This record gives sequence, C-alpha cells and structure tokens, in this order.
Amino acid sequence: MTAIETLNRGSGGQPSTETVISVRGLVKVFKDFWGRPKARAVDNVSFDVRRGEIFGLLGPNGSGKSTTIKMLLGLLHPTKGHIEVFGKSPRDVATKSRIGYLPEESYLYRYLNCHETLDFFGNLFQLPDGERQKRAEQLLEMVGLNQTRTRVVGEFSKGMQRRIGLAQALINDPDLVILDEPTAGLDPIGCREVKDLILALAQRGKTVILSSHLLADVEDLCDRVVIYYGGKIQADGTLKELLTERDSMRITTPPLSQETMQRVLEVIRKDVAEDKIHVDNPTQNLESYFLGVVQRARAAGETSGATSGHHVAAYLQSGGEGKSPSQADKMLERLAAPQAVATPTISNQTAPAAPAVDATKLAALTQSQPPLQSVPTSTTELKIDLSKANEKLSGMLGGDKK
Amino acid sequence: MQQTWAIISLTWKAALRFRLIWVLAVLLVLCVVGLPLIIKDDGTARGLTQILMTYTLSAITAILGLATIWLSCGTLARDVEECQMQMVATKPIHRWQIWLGKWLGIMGLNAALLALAGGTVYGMVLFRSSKLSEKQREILYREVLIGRASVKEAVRDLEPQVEEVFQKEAPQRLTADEMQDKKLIEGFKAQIREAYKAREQIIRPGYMREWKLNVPAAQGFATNHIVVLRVKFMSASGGSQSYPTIWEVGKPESPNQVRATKMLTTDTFHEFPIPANTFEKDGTLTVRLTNPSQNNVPLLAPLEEGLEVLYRESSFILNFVRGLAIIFCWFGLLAALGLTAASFMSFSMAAFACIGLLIVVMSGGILKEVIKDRTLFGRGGHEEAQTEVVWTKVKEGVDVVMIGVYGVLLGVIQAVEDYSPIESLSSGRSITWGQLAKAYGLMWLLFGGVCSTVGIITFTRRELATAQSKV
Ligand SMILES: Nc1ncnc2c1ncn2[C@@H]1O[C@H](COP(=O)(O)OP(=O)(O)O)[C@@H](O)[C@H]1O
Ligand SMILES: [Mg+2]
Repeated sequence: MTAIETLNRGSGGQPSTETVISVRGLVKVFKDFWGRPKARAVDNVSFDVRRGEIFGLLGPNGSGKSTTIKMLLGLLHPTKGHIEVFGKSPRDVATKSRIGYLPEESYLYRYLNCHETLDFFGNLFQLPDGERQKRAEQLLEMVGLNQTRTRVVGEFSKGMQRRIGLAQALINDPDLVILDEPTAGLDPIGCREVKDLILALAQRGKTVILSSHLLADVEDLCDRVVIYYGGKIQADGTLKELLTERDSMRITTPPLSQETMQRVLEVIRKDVAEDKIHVDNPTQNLESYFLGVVQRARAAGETSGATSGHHVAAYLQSGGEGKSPSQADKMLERLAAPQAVATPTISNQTAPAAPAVDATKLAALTQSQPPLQSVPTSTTELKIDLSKANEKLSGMLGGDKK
Repeated sequence: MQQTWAIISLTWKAALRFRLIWVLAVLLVLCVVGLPLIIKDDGTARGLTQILMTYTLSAITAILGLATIWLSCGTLARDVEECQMQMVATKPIHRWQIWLGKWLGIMGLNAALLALAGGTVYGMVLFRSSKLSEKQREILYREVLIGRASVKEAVRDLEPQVEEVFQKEAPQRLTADEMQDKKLIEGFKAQIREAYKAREQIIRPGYMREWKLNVPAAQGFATNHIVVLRVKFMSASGGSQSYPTIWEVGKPESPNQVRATKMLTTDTFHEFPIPANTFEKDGTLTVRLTNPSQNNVPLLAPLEEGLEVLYRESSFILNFVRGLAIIFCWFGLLAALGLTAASFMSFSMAAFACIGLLIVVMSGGILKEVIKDRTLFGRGGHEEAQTEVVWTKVKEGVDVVMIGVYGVLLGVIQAVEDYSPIESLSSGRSITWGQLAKAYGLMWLLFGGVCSTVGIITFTRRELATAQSKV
C-alpha cells in the first residue's frame, strides 16, 4: 500500500462520525511509594477516535503513548481527565468484549503453547468450543505459527511472540483493535503482513488505534495521527493535512525520450527558476526491495522460524461492514497470495535517490500551481515524496532515538 | 463460569509445567513413607500413632500450608509483576473472577495433594499396624483407628454455694469500706471457689468419688460396642508414682456393675475398656473411684480431665476424611490470605507478610498469655513515682492498641486450637459433622469472607500496569 493510496482511502470519507473513543484533558502523573510525583507521563491530552479509522499515536520512546493506551484500557487510572470507550468508562467489563489489545511487549504465559494461549484467551471471551478452536486454527495460520503450535511460548523469539500476541488480540473479532507498537520485533515481512492486516481490518469497518515510534508504520497506515512529545500532543490531524507539501510537486512517468523531456522542461522553465527544478530516477525503498528478494527466495523452501502468514482468518473476513467491498476483497486477495504483495509495492513505492541530479533532468518537480487533477497523461502518476515526509516528522520528533 | 474455569486450569497448568506439583507430591510421599523409617517406633500402638499420625500429618500440613501461601502469593503477584495480568484484565472478565479462579485453582491442587498424602498415611497406618503384636493391635483399633465421641460429667455449678458462704462469712471478715471494693470482693469469692473446687477433687484414703455421666447414645449400643474410660489423677504428695485404685462401673447393686482394682500411675492418662451394658436404660453411667485406705495419701481427680467416657461414634476412615477436610479448610483460609496479600503487595513482600503472620499465630501461646494479662508490660505496683506517670500513660496507650490487634489474632489462634484435627485423629476422637460445619463457617465464611472481600476490592481498584516488566 502506498502513501497515496492511504491518503486516498483516508479522504474517501470512510470513517464515520461515530465516536469510539473520546479523551478529554487526560493527565497521568506516576507517583512514588510516598505519593510524590515521579513522572508526568501524559499531560493534558485530548482526542477523539472515530469508527472505522486507523488512528496513530506517534512519538519517541517514553513520550506517553503506552501510558495513554493503558488508560484507555483501564489498566491505569487517569490522574485527571475523562475517557469514554464506546460511551462507557474504560473500566467497564462488558465493553472489553469488543476490544482487542496487543501490549507493548508480549506478556504471554510462557508455559502455554500457542494453541493453549489462544484457547485461554478465547475462553476469557466466552467463545463456544467449536468457534474457539476454529478461530485459533485460522489465526495461527494467519500469523504463520501453525507449524509451532505445540512449542511453549516461552521458547519463542520476540517476533514469534509478537505474532501470537497479535493473534490473541483478534480472537474475539473486535470492533476496536488497540495495538501498542505492533511491528516492534518483527522481521520486514512480518511488518508488512501486520500492516496489511491492519489495513484489512480497517477495511472491514474496525477501528484501529496503534502506537509507534516508527514513522514508516504510521505513514503507511494511519488516517489520523497525534504526535506526542514529553506527554503532550505536539501536532494532530490527518496524515494528508500534516504531510502534503503544498509548495512542491512531483511527476513520475515511464522513461521519456530526450526530445519530449526537453520540451517538458522548456515549458516548466518558463514559470520556474532553473535551480528549483529537480530531476532524478525513482528508486525503490529498501522495504519493497527486500520483500521482492524474499518472495523469490521463498520458492526455495522451509524455515525453522516463523513462516509468513497467509489467509486472513475467515471470521475476520466475514465481519465486514461493506464499506467498499471491491477494495477490501482486493486486499484479502493479496493477503491470501503473498507473492502478489511485492509486485504492486515495488512498482509503486518510490523514493528519490540522494542528491545526484541527472544532468539531463528527466523529471521535474513543479511548484504547486497545477492542481492534482490537471496532471495531463494517464501514465503519469503523482507521488508524494516519502523521504520528505520522513524528514518532516523526524524534525518534529527530534529523531527517534533514546 | 467458562472464564473462571479458564483461570483455574491456567493455575493448574502453571503448577504442572513448573513441576511444582511434582516436587510437592514427591516431598509429601517421602515425608509419609520416610519419616516413620527414620524415627523408629517402640512397637506399641501409641508409639506408632505418634509417628504415623501426629508427625506425618503435622509435616504434611506444614509443607502444604507453606506451599499454599507460596502459590497463592505467587500466582497473583507474579502475574501482575510480569505483566500477564495486563492481557487478562483487558478481557471481559471481572477481577473478582480472576481472584476466585486463582483461589479455586489452588484449592484444586491442594485437594489433590492432600488426598494423595492422606491416602498414603492411611495406607501406611494399615500396613504398619499389621506388624504390631496382637495386643497392641487391639489397642490401636480401640484407641486410635476409630472415631470416638467423648462425654464428661456435667460441670457442677458452684456459684450458689460460693454466694452462700460469702454472705455468711463476709460481714465478719470485711469492713464496710472493704465491702465497697469490687476487686476485693471478687478475690474473696475466688478463694471460696477454689476451696470448693479443691474439695471436689480430693479423694482421701478410704473414701470414694462418684461420677454420673449421661450418654443418650448409649441406648442404642450393642453389647460389644467399644466404650472406654479415660482417667487421670494426681496424688497429694506429687511426683509420679503408682497406686492401687478401685474402680466400679455401672449402677450400684446391679448385676451389670463391674469392679476392678488397678495399679495406675499418677499424672498420666489411662484408658481401659468397659462393657457397654454398664449403662442404665436411660444412658446414665455411674463410675466410682475408691482410694484404698492403705494408700495413706489423698488422690486428686482433676475436675476438667479427671474422667471421660469415650465411645465409638464413627469409623476411622470417615473420621480421617473429616480430619483432612478440616486441614483443607485451613488451606482455604491460607490461600485467601495469600491472594489478599498479593492483591496489593509484590510477591516477596506478600509471601513474607503471610509467613510472618503464620508464625505469630502458631506461637499463639505467648500471645494468649499477653491478652489474658491484658498488658504487654505486666502490671506494675501501685507505688510508682511521679515521673513514671507519663511513661505509664504511654504504656497504657500501647497496650490498648496492641491488645486490639491481638484480640483479632486471638480469635484466629482460638480457632487453631479448636480446629486442630491432628490431635483428635491421633487420639481416636471423632470430629463431628457439626465441628466440620463450624470450622468451615468460621474460617471460610467469616475469616475467609472478610479476607477475600478486602483482597478482591483492592485487586479490583488496583492499577495493573504500574510495574514495568523486567525483560
Ligand atoms: N509505571 C511507571 N512508573 C513510573 N513512570 C512510568 C511508568 N510507566 C511509564 N512511566 C514513564 O512515563 C513516561 C511515558 O512512558 P510510556 O507511556 O511507556 O512511553 P512510550 O511512549 O514509549 O510508550 C516515561 O517517561 C516513563 O518513564
Ligand atoms: Mg510504549
């Protein structure tokens, strides 16, 4: 899924106006044993999450994302402020049946194997026997752990534990999925699969809240984000609002003849100064390249680690609200046939190669004047410069170290 | 229910996979089989019982009791500390269900382990008893491997006599002022009471003491029903010596009355069987003890424990099971205590607190003295100096607080004493259904109820994500 597709989807009017979560003036101060304030983890945070959207909490480590999520789930009590989840208190037990939660780390019972783990959580959701078994099977299949079902979770690698964690978060077919750094510890394929899964869930009308310090995750997935720093919200809005550089644009085409190119540049030079025009070859980003390589290697055979997941569990597929069935089906198709994932990603995902400007200037970035719709030919695709977006977010966050 | 069941089976799986239950099982069996091997019995029925019942059952109770505390603190506190609780508590399950599920899980394990250990003890007793001499085996089946009810003589009310003597004597011995002093009057009465008690107990040489006991159940006794007299007496010269004593049991002048002269040692309990037909139709039993005049020394039959009739009420196996049920009842309380502590403390803190509390309760003897005396510092004289007045106030303050705390503990200690089935089992006394019901009522409904309510409320209100995982 490309950034542009995400943006389009976001702007496609999908999320309803129904509010799933409403947070007002939330403050959390951690106190020490003697009740003295120790850390102000969340500071006067307000936001709403609407049904059907993918909502991102973005911020560097320790900025208060997990603390916010734990308050949404009733695991921590707010020092101040008000939270409503499905119109109820976060501590309401019944609403928990509509929520799936993946914590920041895999807090699993180490002595249970995958199947028992899912069975246990399925029991907590009071799923009937047959349904529980069925879902557990499908989920294990989906997260690619059906070959390791009898090994205890304690022996798993972090990424494998993460996959189980994700599976347990979905066993109740939740309306609201809360994922705390869902891609942490996953290999690139796993990341991609998780991201695709999240998109598929959103397509099915589920509300997803995810936290991450990984810009790429948020960028690929979220309709709206809040950006945390030091417990405070520093920026919020749709990704489109936040990322569109209104003062530049980019045109991508198949290779053009020297002659055509010259003519195009000629036209542009009339309006724009020579040094403002930037021409280069698009390159794949590493993610899409890596995925391509692995897809090819996969034909070669077995692995002792996690296999990559396959079908989205059937019960998750059937729960769709039918927002845009054709697109959703396409998504599921892709998940069902992994090799299909790479192709669109590779062909679509582009990023400019560093400063090396081709002397012949084969592509150009014009100033914002021509509106998107007026891009002339059908073979020309509009790209938003991803690296610029990354730079911008990085700038706001002061890098994602710590 | 499905949810609670999930928590229960999770607790079991944890115990199984961490091999804790196997370690405990092996430990218990070793204890039951090994202890009697290490400590040789003396070939008598009593020696055997002492080791097989008293020691092993005590050891089992101690091991399982500690394990219960350890497990109950661990199963909840660890889940919170290692953050798994965050996964569970975000599911549609009430916190009280989690708490209850843990408790039930632990009690399930306890039931299994107790059944295993109890079964082994039972097997060992039967096995070892087959090696005793014929005579000793008879004693074993009469005195230990049985559930016997006990009847004592109704306590005679001395108060009317005490009051009478007081009214007669007081005006002559006390001044009008002294008659106003309540303490003094109480002391005076106590002296009179003691004098009466002493007179009740003493049997001078050549005299006889008669007991009349009422055993309604005796109406249904067959002629071979096991009935035993359990007696104890002291001699006025003190020490431990043997004296001839004459015992007459049954209605005087009735053909069923039996009579025997026995050489008995002072200051120990003796048990001897009596025929079931010595009871009268209405269940009355008359027992007479004569101190032969050649003894030349008064004998003392203590009021409380001088004479007791024990008769078969139930089979040993039933009694044994009821005894184990009371031990199980204790474990229930311990588990609730552990879970409650773990509801707001870390594992190590909770385990430490519970075991500490257990030690305090077990060493209840000292505590009881303190509470009886109503002071920690002991009663000072009346002639305190002025400077000590403040100090006295402080001491009184401390005493009030401490006695309040101890008062609660005392209730528990009293329960420990009232419901120690091991003592009953090894002396062949029956643990009645009534006792069993009372034990569960007191320990589960009252103590356990209060304890678990506190635990569940704390756990429900608690923030579960304050601990950071130590991965
Ligand atoms: N249980 C706790 N006790 C004290 N401080 C905490 C606790 N949990 C989190 N914090 C602090 O709150 C801040 C936010 O933490 P967190 O929400 O986990 O950040 P992140 O955005 O990485 O998820 C950090 O400074 C962290 O140290
Ligand atoms: Mg976090």
